[in-house]
Amino acid sequence: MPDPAAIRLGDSDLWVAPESDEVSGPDEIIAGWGNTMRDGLGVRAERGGVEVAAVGGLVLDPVLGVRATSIGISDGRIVSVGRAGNPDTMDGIGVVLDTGTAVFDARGLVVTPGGIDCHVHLLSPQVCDAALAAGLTTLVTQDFGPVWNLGTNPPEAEAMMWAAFDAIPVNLAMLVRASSARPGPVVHALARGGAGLKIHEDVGAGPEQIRCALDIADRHDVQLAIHTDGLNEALSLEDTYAAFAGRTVHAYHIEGVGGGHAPNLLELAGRERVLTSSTTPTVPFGAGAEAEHLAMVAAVHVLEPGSRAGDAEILRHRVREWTMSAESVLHDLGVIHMLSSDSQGMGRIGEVVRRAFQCADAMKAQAGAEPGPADNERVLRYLAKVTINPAITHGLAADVGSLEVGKLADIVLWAPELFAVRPELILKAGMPAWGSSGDGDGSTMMVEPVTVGPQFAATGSAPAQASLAFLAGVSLEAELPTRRRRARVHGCRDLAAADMVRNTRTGTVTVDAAAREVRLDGERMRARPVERMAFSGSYLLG
Amino acid sequence: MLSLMATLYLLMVGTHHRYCQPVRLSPREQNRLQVFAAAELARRRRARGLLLSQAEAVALICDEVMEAARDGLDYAAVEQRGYEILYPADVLEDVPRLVGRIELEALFADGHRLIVLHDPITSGGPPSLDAANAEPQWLEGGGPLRLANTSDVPIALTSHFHVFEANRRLHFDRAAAWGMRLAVAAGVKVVIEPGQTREVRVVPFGGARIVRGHGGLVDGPLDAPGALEAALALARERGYEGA
Repeated sequence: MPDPAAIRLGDSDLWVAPESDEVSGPDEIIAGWGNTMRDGLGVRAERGGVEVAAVGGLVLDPVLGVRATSIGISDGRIVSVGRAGNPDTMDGIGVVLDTGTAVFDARGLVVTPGGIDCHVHLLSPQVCDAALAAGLTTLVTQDFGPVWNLGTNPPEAEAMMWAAFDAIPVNLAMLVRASSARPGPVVHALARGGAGLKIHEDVGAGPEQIRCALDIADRHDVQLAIHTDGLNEALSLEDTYAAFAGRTVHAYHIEGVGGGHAPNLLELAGRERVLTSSTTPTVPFGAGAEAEHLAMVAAVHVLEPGSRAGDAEILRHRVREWTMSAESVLHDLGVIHMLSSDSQGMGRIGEVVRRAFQCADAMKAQAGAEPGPADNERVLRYLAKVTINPAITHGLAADVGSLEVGKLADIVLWAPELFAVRPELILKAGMPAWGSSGDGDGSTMMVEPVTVGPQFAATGSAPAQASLAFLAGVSLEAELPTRRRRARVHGCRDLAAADMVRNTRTGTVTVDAAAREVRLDGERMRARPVERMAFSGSYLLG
Repeated sequence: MLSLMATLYLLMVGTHHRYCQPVRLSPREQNRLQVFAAAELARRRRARGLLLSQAEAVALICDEVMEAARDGLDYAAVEQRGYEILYPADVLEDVPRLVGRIELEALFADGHRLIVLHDPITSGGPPSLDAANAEPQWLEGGGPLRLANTSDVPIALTSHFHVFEANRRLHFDRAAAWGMRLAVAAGVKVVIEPGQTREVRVVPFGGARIVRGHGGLVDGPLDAPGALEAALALARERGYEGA
């Protein structure tokens, strides 16, 4: 039986219940005619309040937990979390409202941190619209348009991207191509607007590139995201691991169909110093996943399996239903730390948040409910995979990834019944950047057709004001064509699995291709394919 | 010569404008087509025996209601039509809950009109506005106070207003209402009709007990020595009944 105070998320069987309530009670803040948000009543008649507040929502946050509470914002940052109101006439006020405070009414809404996609191929500007419409506010990217560059090199491209992104209200951290046996080209790009490194087998993932990239990562305190040698051409999985030499890396699409040592990439999961992420199409494991990936791998990676020798074989080794099946269980156990898109390069960016909760729902159905309240633990575990964990991994966590005091006020408001499908409003640095709104000629804000699209922080020159430029220390002072505030990427090098919020389990993962099975510390990992996803067909036109 | 050409040109332009009027769809009309396209998709899916999703259901309801207005039905008939388009058996299991409120505008003979549908798949018709002026649920611990409206307009008191400073034509024991607000949940109103006397319940303000704004009689700490007396004197001077 669900907790009576619990709220159902979308059409799923996931329920969340507040662990504390700083909203209800006689002093609730309500906007509108004759309600409490008036001068001297619910809001202080003198200054002393926050500039902006999101009032009265159910906060889901990987660090703060599940709380009915309000968020105070000044200068684009979260400055207080607690009961909102007028301390002159109300008890227990933590978020002071005054007559100058702009109030976003979050009553009845679920409030989460903006999502972070840590694996974005920026192959077109359209990717950004899809990201915002799905609740993502920070992108860790590669590429700069329809070019399979696997890094945002050269510096000319980085400069173009910084100039372009002043019109797009997302925080940006660009990875530069580190598939290089020599440091020169990598540092050249990192120092001109980069925030981290990327190795990809399509441009070289051998031992020399790995060692060289990790030396640079250590020197400049940035993360290395790696797509390993799926062909096992220069090295096998244990050779790759040996090349890491105990240094932290972020292993992309850890199941392997996105690329990497076939068939056993998943053995990198569960290790202390390997931070791992999945990509959207395999999570949760669905009935059509294998068939889709046979088409997708060939399309994205320029294979001709019907005509060119060897292509069919490498495709068959790479697309494995049985490792996909294990991946969802490893997510549920908190062994895999993050979920990302691999947008337009084998993944859908609009599904990052949605797939996380689809997986949570599917795994609840298969593994059973966890101790309460409600499904809070499981929901927060999956939320951490698309918010705080990618932030920590890429050195962004001082600024984004949770709703803790001090961070940028990147906040997503969702109607609970439309959770993870259609956001109500996305605040960027406390200002409305994207959201649901109706016909501009309507007499109310919500005259159909209500569409999810840009708000004012996405318009004119506002996006740059509302967004951060994440930069490696070495490029923090670089001359760049952006008006954004700059934030230094840091804290990337001493990370281990224990630093991954709510996803800290380690263990030995073994992949047995002959038996077509994956085990964690000897226990078989296998999920049934999901036949019908939550957060999907009940809503979407197509 | 030049003026002849200019005349011909103007004639041409004039002719063009008279006989060739492009449709010039406004953003609103383009949005109308978007609703139609989604509704048509929904209709075809329904015709194939499928149950509708949230987006399909909303689009179909909107489109049918808009067309009812186009057919010449009056506002009440068009509004009622919105509740008779889809029933729970027509949609996917969770959809009635996902289609809570729909706001749409239809073009009637007297222009565009907003229609708000509440739970259109399950409720059968628009909600009644005849809710009685029910007695509010009083918070525990409140003390009684009798308010008499001596004016000729209704006076509505809200949950967090300093009752002491309410409209000067309300007659009540002002001193007894010092530092008090109505003992009701946030947003609840108590309406006192002209000539009516109502008994309400009041509770003290919390927090630092500083009142600013409201009726302008206090503007400072409630508990400061002499604050009540000064406010009462000001209230009497300004003609507040019961001061």
